[in-house]
Amino acid sequence: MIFKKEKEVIGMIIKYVDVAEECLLTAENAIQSYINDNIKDAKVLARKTRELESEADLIRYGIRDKLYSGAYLPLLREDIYKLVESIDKVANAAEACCDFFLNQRPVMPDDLKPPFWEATQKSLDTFIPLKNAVLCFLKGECPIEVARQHAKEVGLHESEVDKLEWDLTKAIFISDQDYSHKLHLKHCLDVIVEVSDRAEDAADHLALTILKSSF
Amino acid sequence: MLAAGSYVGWNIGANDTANCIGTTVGCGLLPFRRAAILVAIFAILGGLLQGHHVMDTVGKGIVKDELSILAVFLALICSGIFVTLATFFRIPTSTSQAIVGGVMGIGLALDARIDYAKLIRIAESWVICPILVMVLAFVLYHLLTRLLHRIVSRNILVQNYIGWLAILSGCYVAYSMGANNAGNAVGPIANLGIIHPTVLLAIGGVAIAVGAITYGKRVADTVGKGITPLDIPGAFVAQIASAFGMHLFSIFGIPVSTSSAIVGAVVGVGLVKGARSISQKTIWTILIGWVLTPFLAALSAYTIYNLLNLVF
Repeated sequence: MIFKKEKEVIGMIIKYVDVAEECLLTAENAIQSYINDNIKDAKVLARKTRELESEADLIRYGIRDKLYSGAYLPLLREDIYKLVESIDKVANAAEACCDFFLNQRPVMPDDLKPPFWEATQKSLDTFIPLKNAVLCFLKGECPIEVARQHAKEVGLHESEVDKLEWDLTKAIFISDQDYSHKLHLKHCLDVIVEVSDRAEDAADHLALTILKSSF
Repeated sequence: MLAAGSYVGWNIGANDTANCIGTTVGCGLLPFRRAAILVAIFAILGGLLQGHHVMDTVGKGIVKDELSILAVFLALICSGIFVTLATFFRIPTSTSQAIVGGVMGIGLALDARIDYAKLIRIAESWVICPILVMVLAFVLYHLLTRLLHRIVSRNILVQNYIGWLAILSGCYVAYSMGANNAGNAVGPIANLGIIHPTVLLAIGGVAIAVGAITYGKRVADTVGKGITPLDIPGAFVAQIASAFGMHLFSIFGIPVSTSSAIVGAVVGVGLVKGARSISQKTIWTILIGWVLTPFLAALSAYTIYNLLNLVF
């Protein structure tokens, strides 16, 4: 079959994106359990998040090996691997987020729990339009303009997360917690929004790759 | 004589490599070294398998009288020097133009019979070819864009296919270059009948290959990056338009230069993105190079031959 390796790479990336999405969803559930004071479930889900991230890593190594065994022309190979690497950073950020909650156990005042959950949900959900954009581009089943639109949506999601971050930062620092506690919560928030920042980077990289293939 | 032929071959490799792989290297599809090795392989193959057709034409085409060894040697050296100079200044010039100029200068110095009708026809093609190929590339790029817009799956796999097609077309042009230009390099020597034509073609092919690897990057950079920035589809269309344009000219029996064809094609692709995307400075440098190379080759061949006659 002509270009068999190339098609295999696309199949592996699709699988990789699916595993990364599952990793993010599990991380989201883990954080939700933690915020709801269900530490036992949160621990289990955090462990599962780590496992899924490791599974995603193994697929990524497979993609790298396949690419550098001659799949795709060198110019495209680099773009493809950078895209996979940038998606990996999103999954890593989600795993780090889970680790932060379970290792450092930030104490959340009840009034800050809903905005923290909202920020977590929004930040981790930026992966959904990213996944749609990647699949749309790789599978080639939808017009390229749609893939670009999905990539733009990631940026819009990230802006919403920024807004939530700004509001929550203000809420943290005007609350009557200890300064050290405020800093810890702010650090927790930084770790949460890191996911959407990395998703935006990946979407930017994808948008450039899409532009290169546009006529 | 053999050294002079090899020198011309080296020049062809150094300057005309850009015609084969300039666009593919320019858009980043292949690193230069790897592309030059491909050119080397296909140029040697082309020279050995089909080089004999052109070899017969070159020595006897423009000047109708028999040329002496000294005259042929001077024509080769004078044309070679100006192609080297053009290569040094990164100008994609036509080696055939330089050789035609050199042979013409010698013909004038010898007061030999010159086929002016043929000369004018060749000179006309130097002007018409790049313009027509430019229009062709412009139209082809538009058509390809429309066609690909209708195909939904313009994904990375499609880009990979187009990239491979660009590389394959580059190999084909390299093969044609070997077939066409190995004869250009050693054709005048073959007419002397000292060395077997196959050996000469092998030498011509190898000289082109060495030229491509050792000094081909300068002009390749001009064609691939200097005129206008190219992407993968642009590189592919430029290659196809130049090959198609040359084929069209061949059907009408008009000799054309690959250099002028590829420059015209790259400009055509650049025009799709707007005239501002084309470097006017590079275009003017190329045009001046195209005029000066054959003219100076003719002038120097004429002057040196007359000087040598005066001295000896």
